[in-house]
Amino acid sequence: MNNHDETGANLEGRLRALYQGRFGAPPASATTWQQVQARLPMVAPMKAASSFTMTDTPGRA
Amino acid sequence: MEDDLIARAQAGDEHAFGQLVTRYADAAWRLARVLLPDRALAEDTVQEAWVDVWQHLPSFDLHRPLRPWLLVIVTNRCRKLVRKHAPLVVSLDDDAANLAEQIPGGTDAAQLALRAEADATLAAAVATLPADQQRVLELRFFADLDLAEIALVLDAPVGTVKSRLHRALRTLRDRLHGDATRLTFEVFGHE
Repeated sequence: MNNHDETGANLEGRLRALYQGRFGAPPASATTWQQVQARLPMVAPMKAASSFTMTDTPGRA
Repeated sequence: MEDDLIARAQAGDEHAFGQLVTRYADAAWRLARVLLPDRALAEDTVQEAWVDVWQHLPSFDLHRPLRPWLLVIVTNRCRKLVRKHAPLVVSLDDDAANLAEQIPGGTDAAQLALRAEADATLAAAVATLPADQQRVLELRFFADLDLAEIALVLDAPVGTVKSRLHRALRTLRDRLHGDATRLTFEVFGHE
């Protein structure tokens, strides 16, 4: 039983390591913000209309 | 606290919006990285998604949590891109480069070899899973989404996500246990 539990916990850890190796590490959040901020002058926030719901999410297929 | 940031961002406060971006940048990127085939595409798409958020934030209902809304926006951006550029393939070179970055310096060669073998065994086992189960594993163990969030991203019932995750982990445990038994037998033989 202990072996089975250990295998389960190890498996999750190993999966995290596998995907970290496959997908890499995220960029620094400050860098992301700088890049996003550079794009903001190109768009204007839309005026608040009716209440926004999950199904109204922009671009939803 | 978060409501206050959102309210200020809704009023056009870029600094408040920047704090929201910083707070959720990791989650948004990890999701896009799972859904898209390469890093550059994921980063660009996430930036576009944040611009979507900025544009639509004034209409966002403050009574709702921001994170699920953001995850859906990122997902939609990724879906659009995949439809536009399909079929997209994962770059194996990208994988290899990331793996190379992960290998620590000065580690014992035998340990590295063992780890590489274990990694390869796991990767091979994962690769045999159905695509929908692989996707759930990626969203759970790389994107760090909970079951409800995965259901939102996949547009599937939570129960379906739960059973896919359960089946995937059970299959991997069974396969890895079989491999471990086989390896032990091969290494130590039988007397």
